[in-house]
Amino acid sequence: MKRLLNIINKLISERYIFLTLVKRDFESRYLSSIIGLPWAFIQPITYVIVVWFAFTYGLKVNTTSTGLAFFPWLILGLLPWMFISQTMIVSSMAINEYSFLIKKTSINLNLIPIVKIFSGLIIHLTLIGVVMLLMILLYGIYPSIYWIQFIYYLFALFVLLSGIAWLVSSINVFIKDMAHVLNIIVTILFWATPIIWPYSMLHGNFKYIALFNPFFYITEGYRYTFLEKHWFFEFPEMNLFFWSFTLFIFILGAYTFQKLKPYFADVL
Amino acid sequence: MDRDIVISVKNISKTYRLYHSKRDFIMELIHPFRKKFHQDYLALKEISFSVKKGEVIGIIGGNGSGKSTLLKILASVVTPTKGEFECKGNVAALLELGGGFNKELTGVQNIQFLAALKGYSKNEIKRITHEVIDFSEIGSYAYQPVKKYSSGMFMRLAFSLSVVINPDILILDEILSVGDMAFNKKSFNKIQEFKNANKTILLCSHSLNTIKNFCSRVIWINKGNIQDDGDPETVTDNYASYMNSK
Repeated sequence: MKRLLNIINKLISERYIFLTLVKRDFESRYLSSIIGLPWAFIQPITYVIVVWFAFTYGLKVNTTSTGLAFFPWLILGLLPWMFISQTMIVSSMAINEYSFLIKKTSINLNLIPIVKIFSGLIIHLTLIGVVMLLMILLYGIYPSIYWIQFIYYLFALFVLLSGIAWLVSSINVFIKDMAHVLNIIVTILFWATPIIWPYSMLHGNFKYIALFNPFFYITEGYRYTFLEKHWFFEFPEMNLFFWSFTLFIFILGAYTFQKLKPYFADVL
Repeated sequence: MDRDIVISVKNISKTYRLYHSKRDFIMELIHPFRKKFHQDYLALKEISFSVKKGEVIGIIGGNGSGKSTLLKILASVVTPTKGEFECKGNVAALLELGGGFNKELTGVQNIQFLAALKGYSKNEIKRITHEVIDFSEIGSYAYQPVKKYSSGMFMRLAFSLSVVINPDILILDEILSVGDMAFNKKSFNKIQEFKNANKTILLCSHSLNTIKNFCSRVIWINKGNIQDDGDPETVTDNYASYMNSK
């Protein structure tokens, strides 16, 4: 626990370096190609449109069971999901990607997986901003007090992703298969849990699949916040599962990362 | 601790685990009885020494003797398996070619990035970038991606950066050998300048002449042990005769 506090303390004291890393990471992720920054938006927007098209014209879904317009409902689940899945995959390669720094300079290694979360967050927040605007202009969904919950869900997501990023990035240094495994996990989680199809489609004991998926807590949380007007504390069971899982992953990730960190420079 | 001592190394050991294959590595991780699947390779064996402010230390030794490992430990890049060390002040390390540079970025971007990581402010970064380009004399190549550089240009940039940020301790690992005569002269002048400014330098080289010319003390590392430590003339002579007798 003390060690955890130390890590957090260090993150705060090195925020300037951290911001430089985030900026550089963001630039190299998106600005190195010819089209540059627009890629960051073209890719998710295409994805959303394709999924929306398939559901609206292929599967003929127009409103959800709760009577909400389908498009905002879909996009509010897809956006956090895309952020989560990309961050998981990108962060698994983070230490390998920065081996040029790790092998030759003394840098605070704890920061690097977190950098990946933040450089993805820039795009995510921009997209959410656009979605808020679209909801107000096109769907007549106006800001409510529930919208402040967004901050809570971002925080929850950050804790969860930090743990995952530390865990997968440190393992991937030694076992390169991590990235491949992660790709499969991401695909399974996407289709097997109610992200693009409604939770109400699950019956009986299958409902627990969704409750056990920590990412469902986030995607559903976005919908509670912006559309369905629920508070996060209205669902004690979900909170309990989510926070025990998240804290477990966070501690596991931090522990694994600290244990493996001294050996990074030896094997990279 | 003595006030003059800027680097103190106490019983440092470094063990590398050598695996025959990836499979062995995984086996060791999951083996229920923690069976060993690796061979230990002792790169450094309980090394201790201390360096006073203003000393220029030459480090010599054959290939694979542990010189680079030692310098990497002092630069806080590699973690020692056992032992402790302390470096007082601002350390700049130039380890092998390619030190900390991202090959996709231009020379200038790399300098700005590395300077920012060291915690310099915007104005200082501007000044540093200017001085580095000036000192390295790489001209318009500064705005080209580093991957297009020759090894000489690479070294010029890396060396310039580490002297421009004006460290208290400068660690140079076998790097000056790729520069041309003009730049070597320039860099040796700079090292001389550092020496006069009472800065501490650790220099690793296979050129015994360089060592003799610059160092005030030489440490000879052989198979992870300190074989000899002392006056440059004596140690380099011992080393040369040992290498010739092999």
